[in-house]
Amino acid sequence: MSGSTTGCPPPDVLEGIALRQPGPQDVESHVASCPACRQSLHEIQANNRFLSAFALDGALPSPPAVEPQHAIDIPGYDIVREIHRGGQGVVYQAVQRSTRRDVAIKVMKHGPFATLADRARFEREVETLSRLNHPNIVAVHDAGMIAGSSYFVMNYIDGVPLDEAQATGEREVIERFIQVCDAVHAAHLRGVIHRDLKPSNIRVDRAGRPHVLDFGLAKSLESEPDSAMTRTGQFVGSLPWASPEQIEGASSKVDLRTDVYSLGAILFQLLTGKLPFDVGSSLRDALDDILTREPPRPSACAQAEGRPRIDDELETIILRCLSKDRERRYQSAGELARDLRRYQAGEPIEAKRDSAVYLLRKTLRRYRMRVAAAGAFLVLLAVFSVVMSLLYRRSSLLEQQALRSAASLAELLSQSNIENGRLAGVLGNLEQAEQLLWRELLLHRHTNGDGPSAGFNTPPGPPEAYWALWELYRRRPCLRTLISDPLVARGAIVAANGEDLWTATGTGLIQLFSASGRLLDGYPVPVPTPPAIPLLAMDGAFSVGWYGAGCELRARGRDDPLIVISPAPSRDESFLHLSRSGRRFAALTEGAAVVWKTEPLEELARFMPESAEFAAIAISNDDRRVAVRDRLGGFFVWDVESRTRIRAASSALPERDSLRAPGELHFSPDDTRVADAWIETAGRIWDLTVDPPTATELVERAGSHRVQSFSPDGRLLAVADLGGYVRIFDARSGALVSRFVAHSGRVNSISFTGDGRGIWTTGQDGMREWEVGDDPCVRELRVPGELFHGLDFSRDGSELLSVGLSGVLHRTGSSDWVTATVAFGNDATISAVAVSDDGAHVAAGTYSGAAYVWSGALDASPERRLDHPNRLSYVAFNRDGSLLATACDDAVVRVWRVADGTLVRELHGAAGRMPQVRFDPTGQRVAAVVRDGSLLVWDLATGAVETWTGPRPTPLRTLRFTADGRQLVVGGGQRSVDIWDVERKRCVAQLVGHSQEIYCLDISPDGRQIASGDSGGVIRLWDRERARPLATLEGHTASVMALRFAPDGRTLASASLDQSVREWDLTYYDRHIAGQVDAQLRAIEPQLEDPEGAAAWRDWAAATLQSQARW
Amino acid sequence: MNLRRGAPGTASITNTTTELLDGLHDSGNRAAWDEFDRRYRPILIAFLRRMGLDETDAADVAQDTLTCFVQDYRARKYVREHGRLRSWLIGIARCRLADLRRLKGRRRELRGESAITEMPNDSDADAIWEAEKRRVVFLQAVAELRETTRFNERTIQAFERVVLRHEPVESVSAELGLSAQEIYNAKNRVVERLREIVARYEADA
Repeated sequence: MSGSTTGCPPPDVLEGIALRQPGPQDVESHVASCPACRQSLHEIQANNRFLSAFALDGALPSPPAVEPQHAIDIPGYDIVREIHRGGQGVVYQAVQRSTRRDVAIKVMKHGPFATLADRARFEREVETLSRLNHPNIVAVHDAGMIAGSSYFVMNYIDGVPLDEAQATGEREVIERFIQVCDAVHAAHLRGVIHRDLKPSNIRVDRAGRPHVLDFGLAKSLESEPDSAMTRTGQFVGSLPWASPEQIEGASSKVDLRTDVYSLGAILFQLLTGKLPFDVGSSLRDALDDILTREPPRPSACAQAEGRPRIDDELETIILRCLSKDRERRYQSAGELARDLRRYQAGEPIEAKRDSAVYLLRKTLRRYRMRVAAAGAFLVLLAVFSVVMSLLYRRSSLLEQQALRSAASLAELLSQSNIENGRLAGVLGNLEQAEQLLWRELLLHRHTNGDGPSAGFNTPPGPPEAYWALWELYRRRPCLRTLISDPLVARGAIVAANGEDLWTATGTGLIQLFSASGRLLDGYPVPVPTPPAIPLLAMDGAFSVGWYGAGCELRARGRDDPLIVISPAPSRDESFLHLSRSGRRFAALTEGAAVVWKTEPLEELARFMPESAEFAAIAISNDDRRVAVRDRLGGFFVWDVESRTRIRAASSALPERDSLRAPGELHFSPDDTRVADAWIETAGRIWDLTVDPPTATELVERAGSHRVQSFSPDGRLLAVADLGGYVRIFDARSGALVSRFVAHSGRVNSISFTGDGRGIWTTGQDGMREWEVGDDPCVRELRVPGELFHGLDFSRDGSELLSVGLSGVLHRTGSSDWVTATVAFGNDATISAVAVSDDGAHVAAGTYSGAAYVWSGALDASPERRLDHPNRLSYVAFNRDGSLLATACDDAVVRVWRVADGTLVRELHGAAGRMPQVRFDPTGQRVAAVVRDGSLLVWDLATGAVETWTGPRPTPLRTLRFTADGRQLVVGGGQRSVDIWDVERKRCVAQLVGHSQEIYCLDISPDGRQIASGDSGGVIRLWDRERARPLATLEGHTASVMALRFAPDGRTLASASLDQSVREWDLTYYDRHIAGQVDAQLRAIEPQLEDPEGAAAWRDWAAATLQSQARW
Repeated sequence: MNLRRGAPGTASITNTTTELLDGLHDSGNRAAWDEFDRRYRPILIAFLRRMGLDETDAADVAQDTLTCFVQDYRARKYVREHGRLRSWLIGIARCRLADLRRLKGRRRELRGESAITEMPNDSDADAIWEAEKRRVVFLQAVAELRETTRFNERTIQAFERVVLRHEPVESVSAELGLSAQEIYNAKNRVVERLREIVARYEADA
């Protein structure tokens, strides 16, 4: 390309040459010879050098975009502008094309979710907002995914922040503020706390109505921080309106009274024009003020600002909100609103109701005109007596009210704490979740509805808290916690029997505990101060006390130490090793690696470093070898007896001053490998079977102070660190298998149990056993190519039948989980399978239009074939198994007599495909959900149809009657599980939480729980009576098509298009929960007012721990 | 000294430090304080952001640091011969940062993380400071360029999009209706002007 008449190349070509991109030969030679081009080229290069000097991390600082780029395109909406760019995402103003309505759309910032926690947070926000149906809370219209980013659509509020809104006077300000309180209270009733209430989060529209925004929760509970940027632990909320408990960072204390505080601060600001505490000058002062200083009197502030006078009642209300002590604030936003209304009406406010003088004054003021007119002391006296009698009546009334509202407030508080705990768990903040949930579980005694307890999943506490813990222990499989308090176990090693645990405290107490926490054996060892970090031999016969200054090897029953090594060459215990058997002891001392026989004490060998100083030592399990690492990472193994060096891998690292030496060595059980926790590396595993040994690096770096343990089969390596994390690696590949937070601080020791299925760790907060393995509460039947559509249990629960695309019946034994396949000459997809309640018949509906019925053996020849003109979506028996209803795609429900295969009735009236049809328990009615969103109920005797709900834009998919026939539970495209009252034909409750279309549901045999599955593969469990979410079962990767509780209610089976059937053991984590009861009761004991409650818990735990795992 | 100021809001860093520091002693000299604030606050905030604070916290700590500095300075605690202004500011910022982190440490412990956060050592902190300072200088230069030059909006946009935001020349060319040649010409003209501005800043400092 030649640009100009002079033959000089254009600037874009020169630009390329400046970047050393090869250009055409003739151009390059021209530039070389043309002075003008050379000059231009130098200019360009100088410019580029100038720019690159400003580059940070390879990019130039970029000023904020002048024109925001709306890279996002959301179907159905026209983006108008970007309103706000925040931590979570970007908010746009947009117009909905269909309605021309102004909306705000919030889109996650980083395209596809950066982390699971982000995703969970976003989904939670959507869920929360869609539950809060209140005129003063910004409503959610729509939510979805676009290009991997989630978004949701809210009302756009064209208005101003609360503190900028015009008002005619105090009255209007308070009127508006009461509406805000009511909105916040409505959210509290749903168990949602705002945590970041401030004027900018409350917008006042043109009509003067306030709208509370950003019920996001997100600011409150950060995700598990992995990047350094988020590691600082962001302050939650906005300083001027933040409560003391938020400032303190006591997230477990944050509850709905936190919002009451913020409301108080807002009211303070609205009326005085100032903030309760000055946060403008020094952050530290501001924090101190919020934590300790009493707020100034609003009336004084208002006066100083030249604002209208503030009545001392109003002042009392504000100051009550701003109390440092949560107990002294209004206990809910509703109470605050009530008192403000009383104030507006000139009635006595609650905040001062204790004071009779106050009441008198109040009443006098109300009647002051008349009082003045009478002008007589007598009148005053009369008024006083009237007031007193009124007061007396009123106080008894108030007392009753207070008792009633106290009970409902306690419930409200509990619900919101549980919700917080669940959220904390979902976001990976497990310590906090555990603390919150156990508190609620143990402090709020729950009586299990009517009748006797079903015996499982029915601990004496609120079921929501229980199930939140169920979910928590699924993520963090802690089997049990033993509190050795007040003595903290520092060292621990699993005993020779593979179950019991030898522990040693820093004060020199050596103890043997059974797995259930019983003390079996123990003896003291004299230790000097400061406290020691002990090492133990497996049978507890030998111990090493390490004191920082030196160490002593001791044998049980001997007063004097066998050896004293002093001074210690390192601040890390990796310079010592006591072999598992206790027969050998090794230490790095006097610059050498020395190995002793312990009984009788005798030095066996001494090895000297060749180059760098030694830094860590370990003895093999067979006591024959010793491994040593030097400061530079060089690694050597000697045979102790022959004193020959059998392996050596020198380090390629140069000597550096800063090279850190710590990190213990640990032989694998078969002594073929050595785990090397050298702190300069992520951690590595040496393979001793080759010479020189090769090292496999662990894929994830643990923190400092690592302790390690191999599983007994040598396949896994568990590494724990200062941060309380346990990471389990595949010992061959170094791949990470799992990771969890085990303790709130440093993990002192880690040790696999003998069967390799558990790990014991010790830390400041006790000794804990962890389950190792993959999601053990689930078992899976995976059939490649099979897209499962339906399933049912045999009546005795011994067999699980599943069907799908391949047109055969899969029969899976519940005890052995072995699957047999029954082919019966059908090659069409089977859409549904049903077992009659008496167990006598099995029916299957197919896409070919044939329904097959077996009565007797379930084999290749079904007893009956019922033909239909179109494909079948569903089949269902009535309760006694005499009738079969089929949902056919010709929009007709047919009811067949099972005994002879005659068609009893055709039910018409549906306008489209019916995904499911069910008999009611009386057998007199048949209900069906229709793709067009309608819910139809037929009278079987007459064939008359009732439309309970007409066509809607979202399809209905699934329905179930409760066993008593009083409720009908329905799910579908509206993403909520709707509970209908059959008698009133009205939807009485909606369970919201699914983010995708609901395809199936089932009700547990005891009627307490509902399970629902969606097209995203998510299953949710709900408490039916309390209409509360219990748990989310994630694992399926495609639509869940059918769900069925086992007849005993202990397991739930799910069929999915992801080619699998899963059975979920709903009791699995009972044992984990039971294993914590003792430790949690101890932690909470001082607050426990009800000793019977504690006893009930201990009984429940004991009974649960005795029960066996399901499979 | 003839100060060529940018438009309001685009902080100028053209005063000499000595002059500025002298002015700070006088508590009535609002201009000196404003200038000091304009010069150092953006750098402090950027520095604290690099230390891992979010926007709000960084702004809070920067505020705290600046007020603390001026108090100390007026109390004659800062002696210029004993160290660079930069180190003094970094020192205060780090103390405030540590305070803030201590406050939050408990939460982190609760979550099972280590409560100990790595603080960069002095030479790292200096390097971060310098990098952030250069960044601020650059952005201020770009802002001044925008406010004070005769370049038309399309020229500046072409520069920003191609050079600062790394957008492909082809798409910028299509959207702005400029040829590739024009875009590169624009780039070089803008960069030359930026070099002049930055050179002036450096001469002044």
